[in-house]
Amino acid sequence: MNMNDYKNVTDRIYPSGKCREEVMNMRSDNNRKKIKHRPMGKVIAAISVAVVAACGGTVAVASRLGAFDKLSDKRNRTITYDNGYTGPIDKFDRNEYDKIAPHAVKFEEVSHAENDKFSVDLDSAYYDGLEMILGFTGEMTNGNEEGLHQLGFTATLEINGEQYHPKSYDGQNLMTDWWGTFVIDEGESNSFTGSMTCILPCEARFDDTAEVKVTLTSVWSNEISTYDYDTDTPHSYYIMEGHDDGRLELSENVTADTSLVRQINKTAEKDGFYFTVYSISPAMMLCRGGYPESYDIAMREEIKNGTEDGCCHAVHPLMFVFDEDGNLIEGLPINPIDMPDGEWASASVSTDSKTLTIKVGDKNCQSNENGSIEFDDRYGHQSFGYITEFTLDLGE
Amino acid sequence: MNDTQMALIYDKFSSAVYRAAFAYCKNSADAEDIVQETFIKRFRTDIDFPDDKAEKAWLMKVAANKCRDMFRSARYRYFYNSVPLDEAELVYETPEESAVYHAVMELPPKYRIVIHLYYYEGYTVTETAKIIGKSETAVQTQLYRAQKLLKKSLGEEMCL
Repeated sequence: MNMNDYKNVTDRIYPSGKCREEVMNMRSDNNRKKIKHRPMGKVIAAISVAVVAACGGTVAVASRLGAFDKLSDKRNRTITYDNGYTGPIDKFDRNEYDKIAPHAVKFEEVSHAENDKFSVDLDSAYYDGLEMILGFTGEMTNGNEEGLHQLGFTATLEINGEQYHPKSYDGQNLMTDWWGTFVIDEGESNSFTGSMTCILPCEARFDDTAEVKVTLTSVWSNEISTYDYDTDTPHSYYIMEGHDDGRLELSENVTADTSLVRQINKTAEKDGFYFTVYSISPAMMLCRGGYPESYDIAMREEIKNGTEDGCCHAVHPLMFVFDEDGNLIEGLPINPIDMPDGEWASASVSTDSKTLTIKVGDKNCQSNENGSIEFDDRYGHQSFGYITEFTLDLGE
Repeated sequence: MNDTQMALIYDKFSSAVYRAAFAYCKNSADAEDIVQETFIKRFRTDIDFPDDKAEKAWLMKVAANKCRDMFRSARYRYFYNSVPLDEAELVYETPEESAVYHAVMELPPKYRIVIHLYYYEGYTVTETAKIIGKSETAVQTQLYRAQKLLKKSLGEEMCL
């Protein structure tokens, strides 16, 4: 094990053909404004197979109250920063709360904690046996003088007295803490609503009721962050830093509603490409896609054969999944999900579609001799060279 | 500079710039934004570089600065260690590749970029210091600390 392992992985990544075209098209001042940010959360070909565990358990009474009610329109909200950039109010949160909120459960007794910096309530939760989304409201104890719109927070998570950390690919805990976000309530100056999405590691999942303890260890905002050039360190603006005496402890009993998860376990294949849907819940579609190894080999060969410093032209397949109305089903920007059998899955937002169309495009061109795959997403119009497409019947 | 010259420059150096940006940002969308900003700056800058090495170093310096700018901008709103790694871009052939790559990505960004420039690009400490605008002592310290963290993360079987 040495740094050649890092080098090998890095050798296989390169900018897309689209990136090149955009740079060539944007070189003049007149075209400068065409810069846009491409999607990050495409439904991807994850590296391993996932199998969803069959679940059983109690069914909680659903109610649409509290934080989730306010979060329902979060995806439609935008924010314009001082530098003129306008974007989603929460760039990394792709949850479709309007679908999730009806299944969130409001706690009978809201758990409250506060210190001299921040005040927070844990008032509701969505939990389907795999994914737990906790809903919070909060405010700054001393007011929001800076006019902040977004806050981030880190937290520890205990379930029945056992602490769990986020798990990522290969079982390594890349992050010690969980994290979530708050956004300002519409029309309010110091009233925030937030959520923390936890894809529970296998060993933490439960299908009945468990005591869930969340401890906020820091609250910050990057809206007025600073950069220290002496120490080469970015500094977020901290509303509350992670000192032991400042932590905010919240505890509630959370009950799993595993009936929210519809088991699918179906796979469609064509020309060596495949796409599997394991299950669908209101919060996500658990899935996995894959493509023939020959594409990886071709890309690696090209890199080895002299394009180390040049533009790659090998076909780089990407999968895009569309519902029966032709709308893109957006991937969720989360790490691969560990499954009970030790394999890994990826996820997209949920869908009610009875069939899926999986289109495979070439990342390195906007069209090819077979045509193009075109669609609109939150970043604008996208176009990729056409490789193939196939459908997957999800049944009733 | 005409279109052909610009295309030649892009094709020659874009992969290196992208890989450095990915090491810093951990996702392709932001890394490609860095590539775009870097090359637009290059195409607007009238400099005669003595050789490719000098031009590449200039581009890497611009990219490193833009990465830092991105991390302090309002748009990049999350704690830098909490941005999930964009696994869609990555292919691992062995468990060791996965382990080492993830361990590097777990490092703070200022260590990641030093590790990348030193180990991947093969720059010396002096060259790395010039690119990231730090003293040689600072780079040596960051390298030492990064190596220590990698050893701690991966164990003694990790050879540096």
